[in-house]
Amino acid sequence: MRAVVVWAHPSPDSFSATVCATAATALRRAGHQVEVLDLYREAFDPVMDREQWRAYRQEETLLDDASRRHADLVLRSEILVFVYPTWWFGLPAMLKGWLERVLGPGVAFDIDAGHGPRGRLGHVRHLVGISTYGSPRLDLLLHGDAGRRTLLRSVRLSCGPRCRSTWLALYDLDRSTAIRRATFLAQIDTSLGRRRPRWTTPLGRRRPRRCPGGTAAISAATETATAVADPSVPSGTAGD
Amino acid sequence: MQVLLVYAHPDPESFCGRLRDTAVAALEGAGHQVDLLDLYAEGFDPVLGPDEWSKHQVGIAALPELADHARRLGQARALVLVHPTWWGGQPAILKGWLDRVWIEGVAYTLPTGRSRVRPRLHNLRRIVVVTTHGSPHRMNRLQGEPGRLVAMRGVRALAHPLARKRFIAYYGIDRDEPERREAFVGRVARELARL
Repeated sequence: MRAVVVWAHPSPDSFSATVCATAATALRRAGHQVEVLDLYREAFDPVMDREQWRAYRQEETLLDDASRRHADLVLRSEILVFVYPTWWFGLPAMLKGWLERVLGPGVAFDIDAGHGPRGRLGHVRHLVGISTYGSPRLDLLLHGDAGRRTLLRSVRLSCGPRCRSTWLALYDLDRSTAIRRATFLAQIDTSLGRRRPRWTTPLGRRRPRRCPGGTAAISAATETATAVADPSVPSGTAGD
Repeated sequence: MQVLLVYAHPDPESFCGRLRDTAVAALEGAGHQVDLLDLYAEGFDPVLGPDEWSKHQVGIAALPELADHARRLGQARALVLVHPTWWGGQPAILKGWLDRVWIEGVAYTLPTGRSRVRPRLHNLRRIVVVTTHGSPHRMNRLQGEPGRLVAMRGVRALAHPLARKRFIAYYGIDRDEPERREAFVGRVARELARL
């Protein structure tokens, strides 16, 4: 599948850069064609000006060369990945402005005055948000996670009903240990790097397989397992 | 009362522009001093760049172009935000104003080794948001109204502990309903007059 990774962070030496590279590598390993949009290095202009706004009112999106390329990529991709640091509980202005200027009417949705916008991103199968937070998770529970809602609810509503969404987050980044950061990268790698990820199975999330014999069979199986582990064969000799 | 009114809309002839004028008139009529900050007219750059990101710890002194906004924020007793809601939240120019001006040393302090901020804007006693949404209310409920969270919880948390907040929103502006719009303008005038 085609994947587009939208990344917004001012510094190419930051942890966010590592996160973005990890996500792109994992997706490539899973066999997807990946394009990374580095909004800061491309010097994307996130401010919607008066002409663009007036066109927006006429239900079209005025695209310049850069934003047209971005819009084309989004319209051809089945996987949308957003990587950004959470500032002020939400998306950085750069990424927020990208949504406003690129995912406008005629691209991401059509305006239906009676019912609100109708999504046009039905081809998007997976929506992935990856963010780092300075605040601990408790603060997000108290203040609400506006960035997550913007992507997994607002943008998600423009995608089709079969679209799956994944959220990967590292909280309390400033006080995180190297181990927590490495675990987070490993989590991204496994989540996006599966050739047939859990979140792509057509019948929804895979459930734990039911044991045909019911609970009795499970307890029998457990007993056998203990019996096998129990015997006087010293452990750590054979296979290790 | 000293009021800082932050306005973010690209077109002064829009409905939002009218709401701004209504708000200014209502506030001045009630005897408040209004300090109008028009982000589009000022050509405010909302992008927090690499230098600023690495200097974030140094505080506002390192960013003289933002010091004026920080000073005006520090003097206000009330904050009024007038903006359209795009993709559920504040337009990028206003979000960038929060990103760049509401930083450590201005809006909060962050003691070393702590991850929870301490509010610093105790001068703010009122937070009011006047905003317009293109889609109907039920659509916005479904989207979770992230912009409302940012203003009513995030911004509110840094103001005075007893600060009052008000979210005045118009839904469904994509439909052409002049009577409803007039009624909303009247509501904005009434609510801001008794700030």
